Amino acid sequence: MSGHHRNGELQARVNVLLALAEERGIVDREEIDRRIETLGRSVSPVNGARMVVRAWGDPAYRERLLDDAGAAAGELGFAGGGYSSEIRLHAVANTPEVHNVVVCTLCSCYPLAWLGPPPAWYKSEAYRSRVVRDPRGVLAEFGTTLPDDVEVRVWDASAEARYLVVPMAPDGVDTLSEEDQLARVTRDCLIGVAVP
Amino acid sequence: MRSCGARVPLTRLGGVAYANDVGGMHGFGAWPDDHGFESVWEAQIFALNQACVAAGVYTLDEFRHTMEQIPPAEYYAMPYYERWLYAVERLLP
Amino acid sequence: MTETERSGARPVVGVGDHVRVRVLNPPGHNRAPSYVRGRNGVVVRAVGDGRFPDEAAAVGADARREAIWTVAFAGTELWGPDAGPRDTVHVDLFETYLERT
Repeated sequence: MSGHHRNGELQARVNVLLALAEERGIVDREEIDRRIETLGRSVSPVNGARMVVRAWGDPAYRERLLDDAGAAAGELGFAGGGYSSEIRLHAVANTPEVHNVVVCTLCSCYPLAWLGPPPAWYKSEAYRSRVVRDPRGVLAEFGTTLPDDVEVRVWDASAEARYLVVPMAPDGVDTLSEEDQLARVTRDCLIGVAVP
Repeated sequence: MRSCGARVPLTRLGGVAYANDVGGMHGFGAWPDDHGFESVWEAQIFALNQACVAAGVYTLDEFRHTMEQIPPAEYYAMPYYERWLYAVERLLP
Repeated sequence: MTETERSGARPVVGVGDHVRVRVLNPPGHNRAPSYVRGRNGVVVRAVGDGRFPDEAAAVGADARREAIWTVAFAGTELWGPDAGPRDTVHVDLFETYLERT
């Protein structure tokens, strides 16, 4: 069966469900389209970068971010939501002693209400199986090498919390424009496989 | 509880696991390069599932458990969002 | 019958407690990764509470709520000498999955 044909079959199956959901008054096509449009526009990794850059320059915000990341995201206009209010955001900060990296070994839990859907590799069995057992090997494949005396702390998001890594500011951050600082905080940095 | 096909748990160090419980396993090889939704239907099933959970049609745990019950050989062969489609087809009707 | 009922006493844990993840193998849904079952760790954070997943997968939104704790495990406790000596794994676990040691 060709990939094109297969794709058509899957689209047809989804169309049946979309029609059923609309018929039952659960969700109409406009809301489906609105939810898709939200991803990548108002919900994207840039939201996380804005939180991190604000924390780099504002110690009081940093403290609020680490205390209650959901509220700190709300301060910048990032409301969360998505699936349900049960899901809460927690920020974990890298320090000279500790480097954080995030995974979900049981499925693919990710702060998608704030950052949009996770990258393909984050959802893969290859990443999820290995990073809990061999985090330094995984980080090395992403080009991130850490000193031996740094604790690598893996967060397996297996319940209601979703994790956001707050990387350390790069050297000379004060000389960078806000735009350049935001560009340094990639999605990979927010997951913890890269550093700015 | 909704039923959906044979359950074939795998036996591992801490006991019994479904195919989703991969922490520590060897042999999955290289992860894929980053990419977004590859087809319209993937974005649509993502949004539809989100809307169903938000509306209380079913819980995230019901959604997860429906996917977990896909027999392991089929589970690993099935593309990511096709697992989602599989689950929503069993939970929504 | 739920896992809690089957197991008898309900564990009560708090931040700083040393805990072991109980070896439970319910036939249904469960959110204790198999790689931490039977392993020892320390509770480092209270996450709050949530619907107990084992029940929520079966009965939906009517499932009871219980506390969730972040438990820190040494890599060597999970993987033996092949783990990095400075690596740790933090896992969020519902209280039923834990017992104090």
